[in-house]
Amino acid sequence: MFSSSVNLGGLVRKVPWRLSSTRKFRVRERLRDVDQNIQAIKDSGVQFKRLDVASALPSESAMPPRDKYFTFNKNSPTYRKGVHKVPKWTKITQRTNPAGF
Amino acid sequence: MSINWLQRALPYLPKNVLNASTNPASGKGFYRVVLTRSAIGLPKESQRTLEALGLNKRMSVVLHPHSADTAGQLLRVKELVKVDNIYGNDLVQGRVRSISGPSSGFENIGNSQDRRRW
Repeated sequence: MFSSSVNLGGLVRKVPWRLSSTRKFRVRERLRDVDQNIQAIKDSGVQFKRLDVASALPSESAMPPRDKYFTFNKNSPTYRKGVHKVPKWTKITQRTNPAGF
Repeated sequence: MSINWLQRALPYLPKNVLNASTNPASGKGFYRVVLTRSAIGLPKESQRTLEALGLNKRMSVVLHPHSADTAGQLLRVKELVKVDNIYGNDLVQGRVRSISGPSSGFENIGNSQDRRRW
């Protein structure tokens, strides 16, 4: 579905540029839930490579706001866009960005 | 840890623990996994992973013995589930009475049609 301008008689999809404070609160909650899951899996005493990769992810408390609520985008002048513009963003892990960005 | 902890805990556990008890991992516990988000809209792999874990509905609870295989499956769907570790002592000493959480306070005493007196 594509959005088009109102004066062309179309539908405007109102995705706000930035997240509200409530939505940011929920983002942090979800990040913490994933942190706890990874920690629980680590505590169970298993060891494998993907677990090391997951453990190396920055935790919610260690992430700057810039990474929590925004993500890399090569097309924007600031190389960033709101993380809520990523499809299925509440069900995927999107914590790290390309080096230097 | 008591030797018979699993036997004593069995009434409190869902049926899939019976599979675990045939292959007891001494010193190891279980993952208690609750499905909190559905995999609708995610790749088929995520949906099939949930199926393989035995999670078919939101808020369904399963226990799996600790193993790297299960842990890898859980990592794949880590955004959709809530993972806890449960050990035998938790069950024996009553720290975990019910795997699926506290009771709702209601008990099903039968079908209204069966209890009809006329």
